[in-house]
Amino acid sequence: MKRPRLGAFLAAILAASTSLAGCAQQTALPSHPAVAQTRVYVANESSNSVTVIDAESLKILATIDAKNHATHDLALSRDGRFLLATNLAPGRLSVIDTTAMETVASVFTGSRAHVVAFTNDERQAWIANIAEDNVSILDISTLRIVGTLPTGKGPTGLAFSRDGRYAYVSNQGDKTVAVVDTVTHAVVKRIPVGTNPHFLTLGPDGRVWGCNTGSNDIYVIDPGTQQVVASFQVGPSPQQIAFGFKGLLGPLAYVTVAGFNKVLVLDADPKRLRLIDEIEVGDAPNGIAANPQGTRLFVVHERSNDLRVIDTGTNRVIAAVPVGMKPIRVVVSK
Amino acid sequence: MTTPRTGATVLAFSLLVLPVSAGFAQSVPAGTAKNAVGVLVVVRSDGVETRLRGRGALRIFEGDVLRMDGKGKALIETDEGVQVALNGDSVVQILSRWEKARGVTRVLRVQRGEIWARIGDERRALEIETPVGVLAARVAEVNVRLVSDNETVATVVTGTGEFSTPFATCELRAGTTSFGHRSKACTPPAATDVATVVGWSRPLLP
Repeated sequence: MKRPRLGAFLAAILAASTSLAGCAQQTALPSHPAVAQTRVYVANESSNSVTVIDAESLKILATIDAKNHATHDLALSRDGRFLLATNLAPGRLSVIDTTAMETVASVFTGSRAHVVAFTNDERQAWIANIAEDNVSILDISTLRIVGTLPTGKGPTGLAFSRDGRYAYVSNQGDKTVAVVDTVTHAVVKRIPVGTNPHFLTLGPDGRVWGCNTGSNDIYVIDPGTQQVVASFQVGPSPQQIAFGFKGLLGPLAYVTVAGFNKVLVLDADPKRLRLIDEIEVGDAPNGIAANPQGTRLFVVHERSNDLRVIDTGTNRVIAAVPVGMKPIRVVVSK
Repeated sequence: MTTPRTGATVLAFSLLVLPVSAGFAQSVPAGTAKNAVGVLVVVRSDGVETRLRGRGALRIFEGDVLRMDGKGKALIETDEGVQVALNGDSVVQILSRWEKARGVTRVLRVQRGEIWARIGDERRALEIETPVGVLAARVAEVNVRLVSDNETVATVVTGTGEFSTPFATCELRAGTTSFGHRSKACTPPAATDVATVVGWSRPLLP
């Protein structure tokens, strides 16, 4: 039976990027390497859209209709060619072609589809469905849902370990992070965390960082021991975490704290988890992401409906860009 | 400033247009339930329930959950012309996938029990999802049984099908069966007595 063309198209993109990467390792470095345009993508939950911004000029390149409702989370393929967006209201995933800047597919994953992440080999995407207490597994080449895993009550965060062996799923209803073995698809451990655990982020040293939106703290999980090795009170309603550098200092963890309208700057070493700085930002900061160099942070605000750019060298906001209504998540091409 | 006349015009326009728009957005027709031996319960996406007993023509919409309790059976036909039978103690959700390049593909998500389907149009594909795998087929007669949340049996009666789990894809030809177990690849297709597998669905067919 023929596979869907779109799925084949996406698979071809992945295959091409893999083979090109292989070629790059075997040939001499180009004398004038091309500088790829770094893009910032923002999910606007109340506008049902994705804003695309040039990371350097900060010009808005496009506003993409997600062809769904309540666009919440984003996952960008490593080569930046396509973007996946969850949509809470219909429980569907939008597949966006970033070259054409349009939504090219819509897949039902589960009720209240909340967060999405690519597996490390990018053959699959996992999507956490809050209202079904499970994770759907999407085959990227066919865009078919090939399986569903029960992970816990109210899954709201999802990240894969650096080696891809484990998936971490935060469950608001259980106040836990479930550790899923990606080989056996079994939940091998449930790690107690705080109240309303939300987004999860893979840290620069391979540890998994998360925010407890309800208990006002962040925590760090060590995949080696599958235990919380550090936690830190940051203030009311912490949302998301990104990592960057301040000159020689770093890596540093930057946490959006919605209740304070601030980004808190912490030492990213779990053994020395301490507050280094506080940055005043806009109204209800939520999503945060760093550029590949770790010198710029892009923060979206779900009440002031804008994206602000922080220079990590000075820890100051240097620009603001209006986006759609209730921006939740921001991702940056690598 | 809005005049009373303008306001009335806007109100009248809203009353005319909004309910139609909302209805269209939320209730996309997907098929018709035609026969139920026992009671077929259809749960709409807003939770409202309706029932079919015996022969009839109950409209099915995208997002509906069809539930066949006890030992009954039911037959529906999708708007793409696919015949689908639900065995007793089965729950199936009516879904779809949209792709710009291919349009809409009908997707049936089996939450419990067993379904049979006959797809007669080469241009139309059907996908049957379970928690451990998905069977895709066109111009085929297929049967999918969810043994438990961890095990699925996919059978192709006529035509061909593609049974995928998170770990592998198995091409099924007519008269073969494959098992899907959580955390494992689908088993290689094996010959099976299809008459026995699909015998339960036959009394429903016209």
